Amino acid sequence: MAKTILVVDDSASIRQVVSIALKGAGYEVITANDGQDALKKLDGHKIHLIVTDVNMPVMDGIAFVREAKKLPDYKFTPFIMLTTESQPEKKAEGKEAGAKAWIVKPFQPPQLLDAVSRLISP
Amino acid sequence: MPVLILVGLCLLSLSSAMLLYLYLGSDSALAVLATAVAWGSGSLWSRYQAGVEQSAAQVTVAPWRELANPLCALHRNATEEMTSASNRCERIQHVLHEALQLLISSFNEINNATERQQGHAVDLARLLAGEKVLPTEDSAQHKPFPVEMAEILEYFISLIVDISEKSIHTVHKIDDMAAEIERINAFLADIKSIADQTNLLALNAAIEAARAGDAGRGFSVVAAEIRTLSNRSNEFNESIRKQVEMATVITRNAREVVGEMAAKDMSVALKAKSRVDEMLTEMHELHEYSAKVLKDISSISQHITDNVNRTLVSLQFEDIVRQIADEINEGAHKLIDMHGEVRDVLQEWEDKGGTNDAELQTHLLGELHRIRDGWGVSRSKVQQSSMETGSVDFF
Amino acid sequence: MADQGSIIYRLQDNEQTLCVEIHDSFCFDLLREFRQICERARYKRYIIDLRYTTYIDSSALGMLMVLHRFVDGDRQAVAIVNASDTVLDILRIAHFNQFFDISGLQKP
Repeated sequence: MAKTILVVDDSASIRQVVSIALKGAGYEVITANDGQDALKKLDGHKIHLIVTDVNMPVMDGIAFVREAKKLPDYKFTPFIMLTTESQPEKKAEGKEAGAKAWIVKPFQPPQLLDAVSRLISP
Repeated sequence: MPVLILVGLCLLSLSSAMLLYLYLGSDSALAVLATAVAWGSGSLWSRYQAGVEQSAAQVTVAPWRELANPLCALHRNATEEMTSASNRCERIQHVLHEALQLLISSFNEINNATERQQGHAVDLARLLAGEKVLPTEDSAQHKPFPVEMAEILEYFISLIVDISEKSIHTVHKIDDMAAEIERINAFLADIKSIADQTNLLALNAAIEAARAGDAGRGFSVVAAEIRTLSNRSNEFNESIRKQVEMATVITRNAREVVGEMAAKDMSVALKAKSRVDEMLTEMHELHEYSAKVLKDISSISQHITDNVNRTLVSLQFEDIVRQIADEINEGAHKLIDMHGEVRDVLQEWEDKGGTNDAELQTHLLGELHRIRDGWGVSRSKVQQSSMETGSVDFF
Repeated sequence: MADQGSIIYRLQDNEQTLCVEIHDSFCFDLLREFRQICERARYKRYIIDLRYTTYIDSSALGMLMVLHRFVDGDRQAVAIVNASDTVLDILRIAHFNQFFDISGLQKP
């Protein structure tokens, strides 16, 4: 059974690019437009890993990680932050929220896949 | 008048800073913009104050009102220009977004089609290289046709050799039996000669008995009986000889039949064998060639993967450009607001008839200070200035 | 089928080796003669010289196999020498190199 990854980004192009990269490596991909949308998608899907943007309308990535971590099913789910943000303070915020990795865009698909496979096996 | 020029200059520097911002889209442009605004409002105000003091001493009322009106108009122009720039900025984002959606979906299609094509090519090459069998065939039992042919041929050749060996062995036994029968014939000849001699002896005995007259009468009966026995023995011997002859004919026939089984022309087997060998060679050549193709396909596949990855990096530009454009747009809106507020102050000034009422002046001055102080330099969240890929941190 | 074959034989090595030359066709006609010559005694070594053999059929293979049994399956006891390419091909496809020491064919 392929592992399922939730991709959260307000940019349609990023959602697609990440999906292409992950599907190419054999993962199932679900997408959400922002943190709020993502929280809705968490329900009813067995999600093994989450890749999320930081700056998004409605609910940003950091807030989303905090909210998701409160859910019993997602307490131990690994989060990868995928963002244009590279400020150390922001990274520290992400780490504190419970993210496992911080990738600065633009990303190389092998970098992302490497990070994903470090956190879950395909 | 000099104040007017100054305001113009200030606006000029503002718009050039905006242009710079649009071109560079970075913090440095924002800094220039902020400096321009700060410098604009600051120096404008000091000149303005100087003017107020000057005019209080010399001229009254009229020029101030005249000044407020064009200043208002200039701010309005700036607002309009900024609004239009913001609009264009949004259009860029829109066009970019649509174009990129098309680009990504086509790329995705191409990528998927290429993957399928690669898959088929690999399957085909593996099939031809003998590394894979068709899913419809029973993979456990399947062997390539030439290999199967070779095995069947091997089986038939060994069968021929085996049949020949056993046939030859049988013929040897038949020959042994013929030799035994031959010996019976020799015995029969011996028996015949004994019977013949007995017959001769009986004949002589009969002659001697006749010569003896009545005294030999009994003996002559015995002699006749012995002759009869000898004749019967010969008849019996002849019967055996005929039977043995028949047996000899039968064994000869058997020998011929078995011999036919033993003697098979091997040239058909040889031809079949050489054809099968050719097929095996062709198969191995095909396997080798296909293995080479397979290697080539995998290097092409790596090449495709590298390029897909490069493309996926490039396709992320829209996200970065969109965010930068968002920031430009925010900057434009900030400028629009600032211009609007300054214009409101000037409007109030104009409305109040450009009086040099000290209270009003203090109020307006306060307002302008408030606007100036409220201006802060925007921090750009987007640091990227190229498509160079970013870092990965693990926590 | 080629001309009827014939056999010439001689004893060598102090009558320990029997050398048999088959001329023309090595076929069923030679069966009795071949047997008489080969099974006259259990020689230490047999050399089947096929330099004058133009044709063999499966009965020749049968005869050789019977000889192989006669020497109790001793591969070293029977040598087949000077076979032509065609004859060698037949011996090869019959895998005779596992039963005989054949010049021109590798031991399997």
